[in-house]
Amino acid sequence: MIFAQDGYGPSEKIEDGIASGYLDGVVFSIKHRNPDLLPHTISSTLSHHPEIDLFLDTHFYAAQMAMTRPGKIPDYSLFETGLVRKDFSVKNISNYARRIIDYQHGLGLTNIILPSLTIANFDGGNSYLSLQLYEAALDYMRETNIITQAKPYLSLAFHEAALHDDEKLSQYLDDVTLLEDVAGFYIVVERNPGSSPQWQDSRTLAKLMYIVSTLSDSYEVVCGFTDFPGLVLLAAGAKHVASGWFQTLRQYTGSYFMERGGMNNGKFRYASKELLTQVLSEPDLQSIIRKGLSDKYIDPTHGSDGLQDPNNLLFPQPAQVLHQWKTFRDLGQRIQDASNPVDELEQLITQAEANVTELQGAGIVLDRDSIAHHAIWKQAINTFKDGVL
Amino acid sequence: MLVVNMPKIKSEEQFGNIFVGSPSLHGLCLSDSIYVAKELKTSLGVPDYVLLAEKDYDVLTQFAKNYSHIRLSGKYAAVISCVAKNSRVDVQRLAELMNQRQSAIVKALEELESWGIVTLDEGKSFVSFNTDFDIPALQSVAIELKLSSWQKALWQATRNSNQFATSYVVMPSEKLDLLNSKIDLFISNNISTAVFDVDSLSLTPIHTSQSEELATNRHYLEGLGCLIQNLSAFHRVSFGS
Repeated sequence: MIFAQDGYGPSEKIEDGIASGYLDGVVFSIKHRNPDLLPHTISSTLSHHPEIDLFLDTHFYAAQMAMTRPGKIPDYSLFETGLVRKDFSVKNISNYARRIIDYQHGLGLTNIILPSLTIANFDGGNSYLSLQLYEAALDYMRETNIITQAKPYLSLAFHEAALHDDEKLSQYLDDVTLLEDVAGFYIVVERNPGSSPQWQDSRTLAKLMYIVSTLSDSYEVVCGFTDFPGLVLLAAGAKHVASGWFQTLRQYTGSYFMERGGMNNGKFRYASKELLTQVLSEPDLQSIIRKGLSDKYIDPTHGSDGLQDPNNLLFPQPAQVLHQWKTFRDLGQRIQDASNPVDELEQLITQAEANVTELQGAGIVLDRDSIAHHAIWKQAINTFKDGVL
Repeated sequence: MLVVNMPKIKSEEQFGNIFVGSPSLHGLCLSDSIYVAKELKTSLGVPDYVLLAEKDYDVLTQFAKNYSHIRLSGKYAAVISCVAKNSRVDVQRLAELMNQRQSAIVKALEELESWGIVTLDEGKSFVSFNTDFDIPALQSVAIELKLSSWQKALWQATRNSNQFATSYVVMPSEKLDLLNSKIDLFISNNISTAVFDVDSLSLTPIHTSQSEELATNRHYLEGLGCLIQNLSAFHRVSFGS
């Protein structure tokens, strides 16, 4: 249900997350892995944890971007970055598809993510090219018989703004679901720069729920780069959601390939099960501790000894991400086990709102941006229940 | 004829300019001369104004001169804060808490030792705070000005209270009842409140409180670093006859 979204500086985080029982899978990233070491990492993970689902994100959906920070992507020679329309001849499309499938298959992966391009609108050039890439990739998997050894997942990457066009979105979903032999989808939403990771727009969130719900009727859906909204997508039917230790691994934006990410300046956010949000260390978590409410709001499982002194909160990143994965897993389990997952999510939101009120009664006014999504999620759920499209 | 009461002040910037240009500023920082910095960027935000009494400004200037080589960055501030609160700290435990390799922490501690802030034992396994090192206890004041949103003001002022001895929220005098209705929230977070009348240029304090013990607060140390780096951003305002 919860996957690790691989990123810079994995150290032992993923291994610990699997060993702790919080992770059911990993989406490795070629941006952050040395091509000389990745085969060993994957074979070792496969042999030690055969129960875990492994995927590899080649980030082909961003191949048109002129990346200023491509990480290790060029070292793999799977594709060049900054591709333009003329680079997508029929022959090139086949070559991209073949290379990307061969590389994943060669690693021994049994889940293969098929390439596509980030869609800005669902009847634009990239939606058409993505369909061609899917077809070329599926044809190649059939020709080589790889399809009998590995499950094809279509990468479906689109910009948040594309969600505004109901008719084109619906048509595109019809088109992709006509493709045969598809096992599932790996969905990546490119958010607007500066967006809240917890989502600010109920209409687009409702439409994302609709996409996930529609696809999950017949396919396995994995949603990449998620934060707490991953819970909304689990409620809508996603089988797995992936999340990582930096904000850039919990919300995908174009800056993922442009800026240096993940500077640790000592301030952090605490994934709060009770508040359904990433609580800012200063002053929100600090105030919770000062008011003696740690027992209710701080899970002692990981790193709580650094959370004793409100004047010097220390939450090492490995403990942070383990705590976060545990939080998502505990909540995700409740949602997926419920007879009505959407109703269960609504109850969790209502409880989180009640906790916000309780905190205010104790003299703690939380950062409004950290909790504004509670109402937005509820609106999205209502729109989703009413039928979005 | 319908008479509409137009707001007197259109922006926080305008409100701030009138407030800071008035003698009422003296009510928040009792000194014949005050040093004022506008929108000083700190590690926890950007207070609208920071005030330092002349004597504190002098202390800070002297400290900056004596310790011009000291970097009070987040990492160093967190280490100093940990060590200052405990008589003797296990370096390995410190490395774990800071999520750093032990060698990196030892290197940082050696630097702090060369500045006279900490003392490492011979095996570099334990470290203690050098009590001769005086962290300046400034009576600094941060001011958050808001025209209407008391929640935003309270939230940012609470952040400011980590770095400044007094953290104020100042709103227009028309908001006196609003602030009074929420005063318990401000008091419980040690936030001082006042309203300012732009017509009479008078300041009415509602409640005053001091931030919690700051000297060993990591953010206070970081804030001290910001103040030292931005001494030139302060301008002097005199209230003497």
